Amino acid sequence: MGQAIPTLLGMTVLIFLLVRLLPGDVTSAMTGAEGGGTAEQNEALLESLGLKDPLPVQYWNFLTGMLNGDMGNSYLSGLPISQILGNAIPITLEITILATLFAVVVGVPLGVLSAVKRNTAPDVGIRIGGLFGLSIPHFWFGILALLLTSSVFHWVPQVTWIPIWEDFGGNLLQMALPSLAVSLSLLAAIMRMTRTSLLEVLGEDYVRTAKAKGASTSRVITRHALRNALVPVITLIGADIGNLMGGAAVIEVVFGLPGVGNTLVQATFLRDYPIVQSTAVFLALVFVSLNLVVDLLYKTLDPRIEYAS
Amino acid sequence: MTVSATIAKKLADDEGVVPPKKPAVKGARLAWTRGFIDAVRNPLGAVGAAVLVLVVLSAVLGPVLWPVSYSAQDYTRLMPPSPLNPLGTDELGRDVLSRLIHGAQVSLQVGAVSVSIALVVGLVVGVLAAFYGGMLDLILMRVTDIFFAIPGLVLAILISGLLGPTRTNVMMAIGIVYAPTFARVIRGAALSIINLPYVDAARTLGVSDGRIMLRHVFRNIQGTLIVLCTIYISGAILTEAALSFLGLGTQPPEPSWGSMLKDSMTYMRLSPGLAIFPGVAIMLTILGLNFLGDSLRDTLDPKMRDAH
Amino acid sequence: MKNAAITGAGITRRAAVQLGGLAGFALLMTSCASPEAGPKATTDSGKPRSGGSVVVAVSGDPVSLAPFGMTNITGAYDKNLVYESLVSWDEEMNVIPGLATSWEVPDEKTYIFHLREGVKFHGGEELTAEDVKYSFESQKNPPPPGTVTTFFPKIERIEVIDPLTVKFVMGQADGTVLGYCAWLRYSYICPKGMYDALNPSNAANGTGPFRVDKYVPNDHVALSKNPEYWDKGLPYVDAVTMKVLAEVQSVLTGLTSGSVDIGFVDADSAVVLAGDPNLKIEKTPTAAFRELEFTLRGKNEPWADVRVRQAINAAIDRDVIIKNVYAGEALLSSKIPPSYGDWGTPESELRSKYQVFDLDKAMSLMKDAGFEDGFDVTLQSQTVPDILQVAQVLAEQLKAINIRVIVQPLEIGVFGENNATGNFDWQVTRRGMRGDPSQYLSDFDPSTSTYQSWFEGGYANEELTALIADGLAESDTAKRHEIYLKAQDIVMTEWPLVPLVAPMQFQVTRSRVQDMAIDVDGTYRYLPKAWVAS
Repeated sequence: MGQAIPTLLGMTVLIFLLVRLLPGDVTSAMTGAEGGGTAEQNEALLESLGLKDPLPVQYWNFLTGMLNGDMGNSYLSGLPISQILGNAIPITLEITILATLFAVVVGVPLGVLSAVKRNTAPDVGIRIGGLFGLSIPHFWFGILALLLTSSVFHWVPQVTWIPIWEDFGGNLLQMALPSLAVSLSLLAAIMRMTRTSLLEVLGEDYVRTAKAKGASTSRVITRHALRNALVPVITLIGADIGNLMGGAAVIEVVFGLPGVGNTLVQATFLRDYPIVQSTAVFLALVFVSLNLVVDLLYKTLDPRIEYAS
Repeated sequence: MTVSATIAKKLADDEGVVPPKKPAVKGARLAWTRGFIDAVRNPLGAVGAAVLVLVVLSAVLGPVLWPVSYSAQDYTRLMPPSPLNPLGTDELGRDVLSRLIHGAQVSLQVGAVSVSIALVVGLVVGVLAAFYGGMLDLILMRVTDIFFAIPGLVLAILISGLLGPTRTNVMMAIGIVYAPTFARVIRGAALSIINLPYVDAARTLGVSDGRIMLRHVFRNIQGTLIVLCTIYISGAILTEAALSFLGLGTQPPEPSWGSMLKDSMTYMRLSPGLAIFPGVAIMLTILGLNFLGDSLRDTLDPKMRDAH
Repeated sequence: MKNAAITGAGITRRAAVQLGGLAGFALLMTSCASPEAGPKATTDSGKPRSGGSVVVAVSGDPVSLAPFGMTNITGAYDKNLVYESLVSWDEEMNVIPGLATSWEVPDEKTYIFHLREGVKFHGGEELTAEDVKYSFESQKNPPPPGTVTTFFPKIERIEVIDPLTVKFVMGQADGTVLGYCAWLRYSYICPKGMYDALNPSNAANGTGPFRVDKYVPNDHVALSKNPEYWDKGLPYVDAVTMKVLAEVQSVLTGLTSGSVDIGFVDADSAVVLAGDPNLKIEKTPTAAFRELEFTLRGKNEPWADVRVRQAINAAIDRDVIIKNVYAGEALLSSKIPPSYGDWGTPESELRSKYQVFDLDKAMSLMKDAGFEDGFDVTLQSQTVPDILQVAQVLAEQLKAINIRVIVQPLEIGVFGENNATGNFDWQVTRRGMRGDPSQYLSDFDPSTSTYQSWFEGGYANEELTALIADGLAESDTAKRHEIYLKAQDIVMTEWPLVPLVAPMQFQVTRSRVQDMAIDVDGTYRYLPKAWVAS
């Protein structure tokens, strides 16, 4: 855990430098296609945005700002970034959570089914499906889903984001397709993982002993096997968080949802430094924290401790 | 990155060590080729290899067998598949099949080059860190930690978006994103080999580091590297597609599967094929790589096999 | 769509009456107390009713709501509904009173505007001449994030005569004032000192029919009815959501599913929507014609030779662009686009004389110029899909005369900067709406920054420069017509720029929305007059 702090600091430096390296600056985005500022106007603009200060000074302002919760304002819209992020976070958060939930709730039972009915038709079908799920680009799935629903069902997710606290059903309907698209690869991985670890456990001696003693298969499964599959599944989720977040970013663009990822992409195009910086740092922070959480869970659920009881 | 790739990284993190499959003996040079053949014998691996061969052949022979320019706007636009244009035409009257073939070249190139970059950087960093340990190791690992802190696609978006959207920058961006993982895994593998008694003995006896690196370390991590590369090439192809889709990758008029998908969105209802064919191409390529990667993992690297 | 023919000042009464006969504006010498623009009798089903809300699709985020010196049209969608100017255009592009009820032009260097009484800003302040002075001075020198544009008329100073009367003292005769104001884009009026009172990038205080409730970047702007709006009865709808939908599919599915009420689509999408009984589709040519631009800076560019440029023009098959990029829905365009009344060179002449596709001629011109083997060049393009497609078509077509074009797509920010500073060899872009036809030729006016960036040191045509000056000073419409036709003839002989085509724009409305007139400028400025049937 102590390692985390210098890493995080280093990460902020990296992001800060990356953003500063870019060619072109924000004044061009602000002038649009047909106008253009004179050299003096651009200089004045840069000055007023603090972009003429020496780099270490800029970095210091950036860092202290973040720690205070004041991430500055967008260059282009002037809105405080904390507000912009505040609006965007619930969307990305919801997509990611729904995707994970869906992947677990569907992936685990399918994996169990596949293991129990090993080498029969359903198993083969599920395994092939799993491999497809791993291979299908999530944004393509999103596009296809849009195509299907719009041309066949004449329906498309609502245009303005419905917060979940305003309209539960509407929100779920809106988020269903994007979350599904993001969840695919994790779902497939969980499915396969559950199947593998279940198969391993089912072959163990103590399980056979339990069955010989008369315990029903389903009892064995829930009691021992699933608990042991839990660890790898959590590992999987932890490992895949990065993918989930990246996937959510692209899916947000496909469905036009103003989440964190979409905000980052747009801000990168528009050279809106503060948003790019803050969003990237935020995403990295979340990523690192989630990894820490998963590590902790992993250690507490270590199978060796399980067996011992 | 695919899920398998992140697993690999996680393992490297946790264990830090990947034990070699066999000790370094004379036959080691053939070990991985044998593993390769075993992998292909497996039905899944066979299918995967076949698909890949198909994709590579299309990329290489495609322009010869189907010598239609991908930029020539000679046909009626938005036509469905026909004898003249087996996959139809796009919004500017260009032949989709030739664009798909060119997209295959782009994807394969990006996959190969970016993974090579990651491999080379990873080798240098990983082996140096393992061999010389101490402060160098600490610094190098800290730096890789920093890169690990940023989710892969986000970093790729940052680097390619900020450097400017070209294919070269995308290859570099993806290479940079993957390099830390390669470095970690290679370092772990190198460490395990260095700690073997006979290698230790050799070093004490004065055998040069370079020789040890070449003879023992490289030979023994070949299997791991092959698997890593397979996994990461598919990740690279997917990332390139995603970046092009966002407008950050290959630029028009050059087609890439990702940018073709992006362009198709406007014309989806008029010509659904435009949205389907490039996606199928991506999916098949990744499928092939995944199948093959799975099999290779089974035969070449037991530790990683246990992981899935 | 008829056009407002804006003439210079100093017009006689007789000429004004003559003008009245044309499809032009009415620039009168004396006060013109026009009737309040009340609710229009509708040809649609029923009478307008108040109430209801609409969702409008816009193609991009406004980025900033600041009113002065912002060139991106994505901001204009919202600002045209929230801010107003001294005058406006009606659906036929006649100049009608706005915040000014009448105006006089006593001599060619003076404009006097009489302001409407009792107009309130959204914040409650009453409109006075001080606000107009503040606004126009800010338009001339926009505070950040705005930048100076070339459209500002040659107003030297603004004088407040009394709280409801304002005087513009011109630096030289300039007939573009009314058109500039009616265009709205750069001539918004805000309360004095507004930039100190609020952050103009995300808040607004205007006199317009709608006020800004909320701005969620990259998502939407929420507007609501201004209950104190001076045009009583308007707007009809209570609330408008200006939803940012960058993806065409989202707009299409929004329109078909009913979650979007109004939107602009391209020709291909219009085809998809054609059969839908719930949708009305109207089309009009856009003023934003597409153009291929060169820089001519005396650096020995291959295209410095006029024959090369003529060859390029002859090698471009505009019909292919119309067919492939715009699904047949586009018109040939001169330097003044076809939708701009009758100021542009007639299409028959474009087709038969100026924009003839002739590869043989192109090839021989290249040979004469010594460029038989062609040359390489980089063509910068916006990433807007159809413009990028135009770039690709051009690249492909110019291969025939051995010009190897490398297309370089650039994001709006970098593209815009290069455009303004002349940091490009070739660019392809769309031009836009203008208040006055003279502004289409301002590229060649040596006093403008555009000329200085693109042509200084490389291209000058004395006759053209003289014509531009004459056109600005001339007041007689017929004479101006001749001047501008001659100017276009020069441009389309020497091709310092190559106008390409003017696409049609399609406005789609759901059937519940009535009386939504289509705006040539491509914004939604007639929304206040629209109403919903349910």
